[in-house]
Amino acid sequence: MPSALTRRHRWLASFFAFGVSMCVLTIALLLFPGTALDELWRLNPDAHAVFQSIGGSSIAIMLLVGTTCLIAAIGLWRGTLWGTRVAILILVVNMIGDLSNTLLNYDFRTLVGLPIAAAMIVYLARCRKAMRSVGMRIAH
Amino acid sequence: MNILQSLSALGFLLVATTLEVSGDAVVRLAIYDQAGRMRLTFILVGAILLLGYGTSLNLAPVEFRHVVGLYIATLFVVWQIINFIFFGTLPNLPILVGGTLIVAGGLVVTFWKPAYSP
Repeated sequence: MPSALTRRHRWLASFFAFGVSMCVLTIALLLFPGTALDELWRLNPDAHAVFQSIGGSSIAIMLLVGTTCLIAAIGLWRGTLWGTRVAILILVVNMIGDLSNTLLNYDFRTLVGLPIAAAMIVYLARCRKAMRSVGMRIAH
Repeated sequence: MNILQSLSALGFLLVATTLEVSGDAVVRLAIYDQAGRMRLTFILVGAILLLGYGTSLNLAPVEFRHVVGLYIATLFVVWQIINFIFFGTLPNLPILVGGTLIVAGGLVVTFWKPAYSP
């Protein structure tokens, strides 16, 4: 049974779990090229080109991203404070990446994600603040 | 400016104004609602959003003098939506009446074609 200090974020946990599944798929596509699944690169040919230019370290990067998303998903599902912190960190890094992509590659599409990520950060921060204030009231 | 150009400009303006107003809202929350590390995070998020706004507005393939009316009208509408999302308050009667004038003025600036223009 969840305590008064926890607030589960199942939808956001599912969002990060989806991120994990995409990382796993990308790693599989990078490890086993030349299969029928290569058709999936058509969804994002730019990403394919970038991963090919990076080489072997692209798998390490996707492992890092996937693991961090998994930690966030577990933490948010359980309603922990550290889960919220990791999720906010991922969203901020993602925003920096989106903005860099716009500035360096003139890709406008990535700008659309910025206000969405900001809204998620504000939502998580408010829940975090509420959890802390409940904790302080219980402590007193 | 014809209808198709206006729709394309409107798309860019929607993105730009959404980034601008959410950036303003996040900075406001950072100042009045957060403390410590979370305040720094909010300031960073606000800075990213506002830089995104500047980028989208300046990279958009439209002349600013042609879209200023549409921009103000879009800004007002988006401002109210973001205000509701972030702060949970609805516009009152003066805001609605004034906003109608702002939107009407924006449409006049954008679409009125005078016979003589310097």
